Amino acid sequence: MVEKPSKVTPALIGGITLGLLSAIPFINLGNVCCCLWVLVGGAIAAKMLINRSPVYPVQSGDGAVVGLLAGAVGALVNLVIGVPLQLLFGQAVMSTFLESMRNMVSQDPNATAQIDQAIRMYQNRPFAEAIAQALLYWLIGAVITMGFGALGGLIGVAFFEKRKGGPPQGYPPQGYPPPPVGYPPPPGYPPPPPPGNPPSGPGAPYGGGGAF
Amino acid sequence: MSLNQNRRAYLLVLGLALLWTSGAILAPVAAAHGWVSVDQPFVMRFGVHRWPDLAAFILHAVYGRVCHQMPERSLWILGYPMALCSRCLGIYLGYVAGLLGYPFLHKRLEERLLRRRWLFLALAPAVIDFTGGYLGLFDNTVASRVATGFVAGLAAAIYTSAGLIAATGAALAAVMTWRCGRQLRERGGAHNG
Repeated sequence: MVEKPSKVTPALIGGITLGLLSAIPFINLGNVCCCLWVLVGGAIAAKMLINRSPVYPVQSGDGAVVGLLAGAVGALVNLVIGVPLQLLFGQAVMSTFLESMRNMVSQDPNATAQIDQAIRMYQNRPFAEAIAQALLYWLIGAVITMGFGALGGLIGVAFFEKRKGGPPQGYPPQGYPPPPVGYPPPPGYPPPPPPGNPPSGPGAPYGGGGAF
Repeated sequence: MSLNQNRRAYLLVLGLALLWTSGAILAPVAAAHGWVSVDQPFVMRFGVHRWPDLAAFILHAVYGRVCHQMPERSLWILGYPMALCSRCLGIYLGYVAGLLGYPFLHKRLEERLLRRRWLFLALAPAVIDFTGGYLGLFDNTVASRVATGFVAGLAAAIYTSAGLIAATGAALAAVMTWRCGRQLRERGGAHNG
């Protein structure tokens, strides 16, 4: 019996891809387009699963599972790479972001004062508090990543899986040879049986009674 | 999957989608009532600001993951911006609309998905609207962002809802099986009286 392919390798590759893209500063901004990198990672995992399944069409549920696993792997990659990067460079990125917000509301003195206070508090917060917030931010993001990874896997199956239904018709079972090509049965005989169903009973062209 | 399991899975997926979308819409209402801080999404203060700051932090952590949350690109309620931009809001509203239509289309969707070309066609308006605005070819509007997002979200729901509900049903069935097995093990097995 042909077994379904393992989801581990596709999930690892899709997860590492989305994890790296989501962890590198500035590149990870692609995720603000509806978690683009996460969807891409889930779709990559689904595509790899489809490539590894030459017999069975990959079902949507399998795509969702492999996408979810890719999201979990991506979240772990983000924990190992993204969180330290965020702690090292996040202050610079966030200060730039807050400064741009300050420039946008420069006409409003109240809003400007609030953003100035936010900038001061962000720059002066203790490192332990920064780590705790980064880990909480990561934990919430991990749940989102896994959910959107599953969606990416579903979209990947919809995009890349062209086969429909179960295993292809006429797929020969193991040990059963196909009928010889160009060998027509004599007239009056019943048509040859489908593979896997040897004929039985009187008048069967292959001897009947199950003996072969 | 039985009809009951399918229905449970569908309601769970629909509930989560409604929770996700309504959270973004109700965030400005909460901000207007002072339940969510509006000036401190990145740091948490203690004292009276503790819970509003935590709520703002969670909202930013959840929705900031999937959206830029730029106030000038978002719809506003009661003087505060939503937690999602107008395009993202349109996408998720379209997804919810697709899920609401699932009971009427599920037999067709479970037999065979629509051709991929329709998914590309449904995503094209949103891509054109975004790209044109980004490159300065034309100015997109709130209405165009919401409308193109809605169509993209609706198409995404049509292509993913059957699989999402099937996967959710399988997960629920696995959880129920595990719980039944745990109860049996705690009672010492099915053969003990």
